[in-house]
Amino acid sequence: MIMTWWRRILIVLIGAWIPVTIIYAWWTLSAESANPYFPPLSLILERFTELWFSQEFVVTVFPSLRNFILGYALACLIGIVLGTLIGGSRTGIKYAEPIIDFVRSIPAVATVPIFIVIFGLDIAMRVASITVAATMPILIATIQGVRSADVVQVETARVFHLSKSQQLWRVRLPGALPLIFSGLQLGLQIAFIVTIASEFLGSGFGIGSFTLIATESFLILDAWTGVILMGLLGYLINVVFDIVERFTLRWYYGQKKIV
Amino acid sequence: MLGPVPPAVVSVVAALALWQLATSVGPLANLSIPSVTETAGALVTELTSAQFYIRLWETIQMAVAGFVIAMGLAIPLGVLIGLSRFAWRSTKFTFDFFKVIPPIVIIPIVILVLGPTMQMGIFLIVFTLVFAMSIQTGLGVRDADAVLLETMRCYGMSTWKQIRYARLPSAGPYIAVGVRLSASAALVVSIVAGLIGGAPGLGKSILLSQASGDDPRTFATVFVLGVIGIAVSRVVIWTQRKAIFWMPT
Amino acid sequence: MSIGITISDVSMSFETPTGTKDVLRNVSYSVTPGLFVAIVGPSGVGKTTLLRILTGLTKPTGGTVQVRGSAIEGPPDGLAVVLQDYTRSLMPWLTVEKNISLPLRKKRIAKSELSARVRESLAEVGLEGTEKSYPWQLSGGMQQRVAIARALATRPDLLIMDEPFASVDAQTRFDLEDLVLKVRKDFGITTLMVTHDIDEAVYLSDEVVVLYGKPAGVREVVSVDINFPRSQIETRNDPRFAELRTHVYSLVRGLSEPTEVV
Ligand SMILES: Nc1ncnc2c1ncn2[C@@H]1O[C@H](COP(=O)(O)OP(=O)(O)OP(=O)(O)O)[C@@H](O)[C@H]1O
Ligand SMILES: [Mg+2]
Repeated sequence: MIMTWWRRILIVLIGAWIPVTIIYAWWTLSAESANPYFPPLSLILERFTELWFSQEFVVTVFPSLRNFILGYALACLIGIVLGTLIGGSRTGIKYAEPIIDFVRSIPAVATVPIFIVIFGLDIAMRVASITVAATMPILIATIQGVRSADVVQVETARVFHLSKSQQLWRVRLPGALPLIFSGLQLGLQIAFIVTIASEFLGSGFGIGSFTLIATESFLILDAWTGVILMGLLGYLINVVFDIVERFTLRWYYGQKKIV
Repeated sequence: MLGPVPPAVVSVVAALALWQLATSVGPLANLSIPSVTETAGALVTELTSAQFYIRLWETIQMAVAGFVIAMGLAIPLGVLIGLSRFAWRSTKFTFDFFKVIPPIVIIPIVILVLGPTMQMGIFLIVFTLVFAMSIQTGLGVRDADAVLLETMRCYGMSTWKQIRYARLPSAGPYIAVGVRLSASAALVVSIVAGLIGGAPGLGKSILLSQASGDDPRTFATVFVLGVIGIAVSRVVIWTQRKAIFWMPT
Repeated sequence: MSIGITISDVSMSFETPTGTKDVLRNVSYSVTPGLFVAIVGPSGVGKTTLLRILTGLTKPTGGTVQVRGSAIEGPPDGLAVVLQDYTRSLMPWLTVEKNISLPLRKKRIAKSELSARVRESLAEVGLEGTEKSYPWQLSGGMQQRVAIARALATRPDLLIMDEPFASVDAQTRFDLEDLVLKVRKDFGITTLMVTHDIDEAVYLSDEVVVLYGKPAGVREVVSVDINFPRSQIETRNDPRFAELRTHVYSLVRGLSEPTEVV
């Protein structure tokens, strides 16, 4: 289907009326609000710009983002490398499966207290909890992806004398990418959740801590701005991921559209 | 004669042995990390106390209530937005937005308004499930076979009949997948609500044992959560196999 | 240089839950270098099984396959294959160009030489200018031609094809058959091809090997004494063509006795 430019605009407009209505309703209904928990939206936005368009953003948000990126990057690395190793060996799976199955069944957030016990409240604890929790879906997806490599493709590679490592890099892994990406996306969301959770539970720095402390000290405006900022960050991270995925897997989506 | 030891047993025993060694004589020995034996002791104490079962029951209650409410809202809503292209496009951005926002970020505000209560946990669960489940149901409704629909239209079948015999059956497998994912997610959020927000249940148990420095108990409770997680996913898959035998998952 | 392949007493049986299943028994046949050989037989007789043994992907339970005088232990050097399932044997994440050069990476070929080979092979199959497309952007027949181009680019000594044209429409099939004849004329590669289509087998080959029985053996090797070049219209109207196809047909059907030479 060919999308003309005005069709695109129309679709965006149709998608926009609900959010616009919600924000408008929020704005007018809260304008005169005396309820302490629902301050006027105008005040929240004022506080939002005041806080997050200043030095405060760097001080508060940077540590969270750093932990998140570090933990997630490690998870991607460990998940894919380990997943490829385990997925490539039949016995490996038999031994690893029960452990993986158990660890992934623990709610990611509930592993944070374990890491608090092991590492205390410092950065290592945060990064370790993020990494371990986010590794699980990536690991599982990679194992599945590498295992479910197309027999015809692998045999074609063998007949044409591709070496073992070429078979892995040029056939098995690219073929597994769509599955790996679904694991990467789940891992990304988990990494974000655990980043926030580790700050809620282990008090100190970061956007999660900031928001929780604001709540506990009844700084309602600050709490709202924290929640909104975390929500926006969570959304943005997903948007960025989608763009990367669409680009990397353009062969996959192109093929799907045709079939 | 004894058969070969199953790999599952080998790796579980190996993992436990490693943990025990590391925490008793190994590199982590002087870090006051609970060993297997300490954790097992705490586990026995937990499993023999009435408190534990009350907490467990609270967690399950919250999960079930949130799950039921969310499904009750999301499935009809999903059918509605799936039936009308205008409704689908109108809600697309909004629902996608709320779907990807992790529920954990709204906890501070929810605690403010609802307090550390069961209602708070239920609200969080509903918020987490409702958008994803609506989208999932809507996708199913929209995925109805175009040829089948055309054929029905050619035979002059009413819109209601088209919904009844083409749209809803096509949504069935989508809903089944959504229900399965939602059930597991409901349990997770129910625990998170306790752990982060102080809502009743096992999550709160961990929060309390962690705050009081009772590390073996923290470990034991987390261990129990893993076992419950496995059990729930097995039960849900099993139920679905029984209920929807025609759906290959 | 094109090479021969010698099949000596090859047997194959599979262990199945219901017991041992004998598929091939004592298959012996020697492929003369440079010949085009079609393998036909009833459905399920074991054609694919035999072909997989020849490619070295499956080990036979008995007998040997010899290439260049020694028994093969895996895919022999100089082998290229074209499989029925082109949607699966081409890598969807690689462009046509990259698909074709994939098997060449091993061979330490200079970059310029590499792209020249890709271009030549594509020209041979009449697909100039599709280098940057993805396989799934092409029609089924074009994809199968890419698979053939990939095989040619390796400069094979032996080409093995399993029902290469089974999933394309009739017109494309004729075109691809003539393409294969042209490749044959241009390169003289030893070619083995499994097909369900008896007309196609007779039309393309020098020899038709008929597999028959449970377990299967070589029922007869039919020599196709029709001159090259062949053409879809003339060859197919040749009375000799009609005789041969009737003969092969009755062999495949188990109707006529072997060696009842026409
Ligand atoms: N891996 C296997 N395990 C068990 N049985 C097998 C296996 N591969 C093939 N067979 C059996 O061997 C027999 C021959 O199969 P094969 O695929 O070689 O037949 P074919 O002649 O290529 O058939 P078709 O014309 O349908 O392609 C069949 O009965 C099949 O069920
Ligand atoms: Mg076959």
